[in-house]
Amino acid sequence: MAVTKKLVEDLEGIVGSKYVMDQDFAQYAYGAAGIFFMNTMMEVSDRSAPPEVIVKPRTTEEVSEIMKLANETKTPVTIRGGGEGYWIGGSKDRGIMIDMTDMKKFIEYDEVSRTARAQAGITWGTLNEELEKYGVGTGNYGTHGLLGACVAGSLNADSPGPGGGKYGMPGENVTNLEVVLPTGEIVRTGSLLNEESKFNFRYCNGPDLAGMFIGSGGIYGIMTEVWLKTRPLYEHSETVGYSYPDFDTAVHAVNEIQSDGYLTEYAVVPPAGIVEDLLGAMFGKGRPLTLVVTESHSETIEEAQKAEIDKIAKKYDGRLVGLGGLLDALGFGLYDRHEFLGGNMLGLLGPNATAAVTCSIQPLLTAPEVMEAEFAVCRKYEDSYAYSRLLGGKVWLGALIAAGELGAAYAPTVFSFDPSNDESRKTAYRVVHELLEVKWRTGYATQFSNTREWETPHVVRRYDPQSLELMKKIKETLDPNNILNRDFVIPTSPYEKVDKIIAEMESEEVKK
Amino acid sequence: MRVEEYKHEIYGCAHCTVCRDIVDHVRGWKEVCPVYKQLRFQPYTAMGHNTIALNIVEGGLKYSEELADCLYKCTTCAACEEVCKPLSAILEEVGGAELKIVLPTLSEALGIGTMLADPIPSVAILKAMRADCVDLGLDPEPIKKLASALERTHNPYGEAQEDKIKWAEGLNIPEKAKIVFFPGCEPAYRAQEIVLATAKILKSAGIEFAVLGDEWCCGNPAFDAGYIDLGERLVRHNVEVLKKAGAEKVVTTCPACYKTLKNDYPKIVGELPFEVVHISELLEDLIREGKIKPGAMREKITYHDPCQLGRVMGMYREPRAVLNAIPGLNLVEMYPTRQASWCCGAGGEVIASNPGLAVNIAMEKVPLVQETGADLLVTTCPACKRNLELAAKRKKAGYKVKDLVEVVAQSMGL
Repeated sequence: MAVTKKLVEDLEGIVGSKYVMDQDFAQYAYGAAGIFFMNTMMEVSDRSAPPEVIVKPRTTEEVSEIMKLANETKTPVTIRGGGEGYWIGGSKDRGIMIDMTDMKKFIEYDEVSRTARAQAGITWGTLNEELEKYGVGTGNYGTHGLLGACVAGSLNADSPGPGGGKYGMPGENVTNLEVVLPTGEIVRTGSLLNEESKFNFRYCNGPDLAGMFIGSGGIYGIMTEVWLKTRPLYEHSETVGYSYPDFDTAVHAVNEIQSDGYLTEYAVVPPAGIVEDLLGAMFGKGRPLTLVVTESHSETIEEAQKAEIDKIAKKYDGRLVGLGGLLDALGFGLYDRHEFLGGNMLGLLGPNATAAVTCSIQPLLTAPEVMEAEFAVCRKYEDSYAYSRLLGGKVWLGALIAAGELGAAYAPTVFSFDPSNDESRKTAYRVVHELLEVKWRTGYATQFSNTREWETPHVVRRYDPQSLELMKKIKETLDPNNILNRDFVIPTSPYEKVDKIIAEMESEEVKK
Repeated sequence: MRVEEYKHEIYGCAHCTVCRDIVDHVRGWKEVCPVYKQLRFQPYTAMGHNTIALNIVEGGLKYSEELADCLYKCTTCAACEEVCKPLSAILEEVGGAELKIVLPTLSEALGIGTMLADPIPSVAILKAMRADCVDLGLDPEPIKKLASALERTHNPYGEAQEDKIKWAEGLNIPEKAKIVFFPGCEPAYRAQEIVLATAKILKSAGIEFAVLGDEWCCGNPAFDAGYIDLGERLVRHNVEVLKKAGAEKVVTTCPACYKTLKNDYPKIVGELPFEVVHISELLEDLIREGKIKPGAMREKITYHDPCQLGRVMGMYREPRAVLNAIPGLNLVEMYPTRQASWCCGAGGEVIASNPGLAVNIAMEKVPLVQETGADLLVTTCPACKRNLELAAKRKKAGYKVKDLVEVVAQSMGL
């Protein structure tokens, strides 16, 4: 149902008129989210319509009231966190957008449970600023390390962040959640199912309800409060760099270093695309670069860890390079809780060139094989990429960074395109979907399953019917009017353009 | 539409959110956009402006009075641009500011194209949208009044031109000299303590300087408000009268005048036949040369960086050097400061279009000043001074606000 004047007034009645906007410019300003240039790759007519009204609640009760009102009027609702994410803005059916960025209170640090409690719209930066006062941090520092992302946004998107190599995904650090269900009821998970509980623990009191909401793209409810594990802030942290004879050797070396528990974060940059010549000039042709971050409370342990890392690296014919120390010295380390370089770099390719990104989760050890398939796609379209004035070339590259503790790697592939050029945009759209399809064929997994036009068309082709049916049934039970984050994760309409691209890929392969 | 000139830059915005409210203590940032802090919605941020601009360029969104009202709430403090340059920061740390400057030439010489590391010019994009609003007659009423006053009287207040140098009566200041003091409208009409202090210091240093009876507004309010043609007319007039006065050096106390004269005038009229300096540069030179000798002042002070002088013109050191040259003065920095300093709220003509918003932004600075324990807040901008003074009064903050020249004059017993 379209948003009426009466609905806007009712929303103002819940949160106050200062916290509601429905002017057309506001709708458009909320019509695109973080990795905005992905949006520009699409035809204007294909993009999600901007929301009709934006509302900024400050309490769980306000969120609950908004959802009850939306159910009464059967108005679609889309949740937005920091706005840094990968999806495209509002629901295709427009409706209400809940901007969660005023749900930003740090509530408490519980020394007993060693957990932080905060409203779910708090940014990773603000949360860690508060936690520093207690000598602790969140371990994993959230999406891209940009620190502009909201905690719940990262959790909803299964988004990785610096620290994943040691502390796992942000979702793995959740102990409890408070969630407003699509129909407006408020629930708590884990130990907090017991109303008298003063202890924060996840795996107790029955099924892991928190797990149902994490990575759900917000389709099952709106996180309003989060409880996260905290980790001590280490006094010593260093980035050490090595180059290896080839990509495969590099990932085996990093895997061993990670298995032995010496690293907190890593990056592997294979010599392909725009960095091929650069890495070749620095370390010798074909040699990839790896960076691993170590940390500890004691200088002695730190030195010992570095010695062990060096031993492992030498075993794999690794050569020590000074780049890690240089990055640390510049304050742009891989694992820097104040770092904001990450995603911002993607926009720095310069005028006429911006970056398209595809991401997936892959086992570290077999990543080279998968990435080689991706690189074949990248090479196929090499001539069509935009020229970056910043990097002085047509850009494509891939990299691996830590995703979780168990040898899983987060693998972004990036290429440049010119969003102001129709032909370039169209090609970029195709390349993205070819890359995603290649990744999916290898059986690997996605984060950002809430991205609709990007990951979802590929995801749904491969879900086994029973699992998809289960997800749908949960959705129908929790959200009988299908109003919350409609079309996320579980699509209700076909993706004809993507299906066409995949069909053409298959036809080309048959010909070959 | 003027905003179309920025099409490539608009598409380049990564919407990474750092320009909104990042916390980054390593680089000294604690929140970024002063308007977002007050109004809390995406359209009031640089990334929001850039999304709006994109939708205008692509044709989905049309300019309206409501949109214009939103655009005129930006203080143009340029914190968004400052935070949007991590690569610039790396380059500067590796090779100093010079590396960034020579990078395009260097990369061209190496045959790898023109490498640039500039941030998204969010303020310029905003101003282009404001100019479009003006072309369409959609700018808010207070802005129309401001432009009308500029057109009629050549100052934003609608005051008589002959009153602009009333403050100089009896001071025996000529209208022709190699050094011209360009007070600007706000000091000349509304903050005469600043012009008087400046004149006294210059005289005390034995400097022969002129003030011009026919000095018009520098043009900054017109450019900020989107009245480009009007701004250019003001610029051309001022260049002519400065030439006639025989100016070789033009001294300003107002950072907006300084920035406009130094940065914008050459873009409009070509190379200037005179040098433009800010009073803090001149004061530093005069102290170093021993031409003025500040006396002791036993006060604990803090310093507010005006956005146009700091982030836009990169002048952080000079005013501090002047303050540190005053014996006994204890300068304690606020946090955030310098590049990450919070705006006072008066810029971008917000003081004219949304005075309530401007003072609310200024009131956010009160606790930052109080945390330093300073008795005196010093700045070097008449608009900042007025707004910060108002905020301090409203909050009953208990500290005074003064311009740098007032402090120097006081220390000299003038």
